[in-house]
Amino acid sequence: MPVSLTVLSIFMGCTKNETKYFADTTSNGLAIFSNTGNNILTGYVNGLVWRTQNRVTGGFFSKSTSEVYLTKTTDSSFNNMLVITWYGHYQNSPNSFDFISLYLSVPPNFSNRDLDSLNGKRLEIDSTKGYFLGSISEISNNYEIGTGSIYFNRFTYDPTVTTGDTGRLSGLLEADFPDFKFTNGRFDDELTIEQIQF
Amino acid sequence: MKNCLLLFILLTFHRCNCFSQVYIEPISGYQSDIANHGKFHQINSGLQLSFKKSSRYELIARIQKSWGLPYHSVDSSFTANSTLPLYEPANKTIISEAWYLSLDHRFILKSKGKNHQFSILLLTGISGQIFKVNYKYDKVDYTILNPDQTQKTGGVSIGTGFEYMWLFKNDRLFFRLTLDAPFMGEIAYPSSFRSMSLLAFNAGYSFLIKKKKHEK
Repeated sequence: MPVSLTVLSIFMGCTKNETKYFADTTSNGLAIFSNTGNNILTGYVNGLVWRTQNRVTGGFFSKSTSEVYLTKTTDSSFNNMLVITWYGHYQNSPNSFDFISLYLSVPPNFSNRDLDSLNGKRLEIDSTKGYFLGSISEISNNYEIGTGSIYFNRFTYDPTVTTGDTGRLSGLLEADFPDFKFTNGRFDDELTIEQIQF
Repeated sequence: MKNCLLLFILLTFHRCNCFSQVYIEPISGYQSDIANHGKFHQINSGLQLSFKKSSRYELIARIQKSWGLPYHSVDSSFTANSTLPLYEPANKTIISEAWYLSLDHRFILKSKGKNHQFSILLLTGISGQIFKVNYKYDKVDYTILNPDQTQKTGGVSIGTGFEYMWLFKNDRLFFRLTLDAPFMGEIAYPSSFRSMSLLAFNAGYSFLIKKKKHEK
């Protein structure tokens, strides 16, 4: 019995939570706006705190999870889109699985080496440059398309770096959807090969 | 905090009966933090009881409060709202304060002169530090990047120093230069500052309140 418990604890204990939440004392329930790699996005959805799931790495039996993924896709009009998706839930509903995505129009040859071109940029997200896509299960079963704005305080990625600081995505966002508003959003994510999926 | 104060008072009064000469010593001075590149400065005020055990050693019970001088700097705040400027400075003021409950040790060095003495000080006790952070900026439209927040820290306090004392008939005037070690462990919140290591210059005056028995 003690052996099996030890083995179990070794396997269970190998996971690591890489999300760091530091409460913003000026905003009830939100994390601070940071660019130090805390791996979290928080904001208000219709006034209630919404946050991303924890980034968990390691573990022999459990799959690693990340709060953010970056992909590239083509929309129905064959426009190339950079897609940044944050997965999360209301602060008080940790079992729901919702997301907020940014679809941003990019050139066809846009690669992960070009992410730096967005560093320091503030973009108005309207139907011409891209759009937000959101799903909040407590509000609607449908995916909703929204507009808004986003500021990339840091947007860096170097695929040649194998250890240490490979990349960073941090900034602010606001988005309006038909049935909800996402306000006071702030995000701070480390970017590794796990998050960059193109 | 209350328990610490009670223990401190009990220890002090217990010690009071064991020593032949007792001085009460108001102290005041200035201290500067060397752990944060000189950001924080404080005015000291305190009171200590000195119990003279021998001509070479005194035990000192010290209560001290250090009043912080404001440190001003500017952080960055940003907004995603494209109708507003992207960046706005956020004026930051940090006031750092400290308190001490300490049992210090005064090791008196041999001196040729009768009217003065030099001592090595060993400071041992508990102390606390507080960093009060205040920002002035547009809190409605802007968000501060990597903000500081008010922090408290404390623990065992250790320090050392050097003291010059001018001896009068009964009373004494002294000047001391001391350095506190920073606390073990870091502040848990990602702050732009860390716990202080304070270099202090204090002056004090010793009033004799209990003489040796044969002097009565």
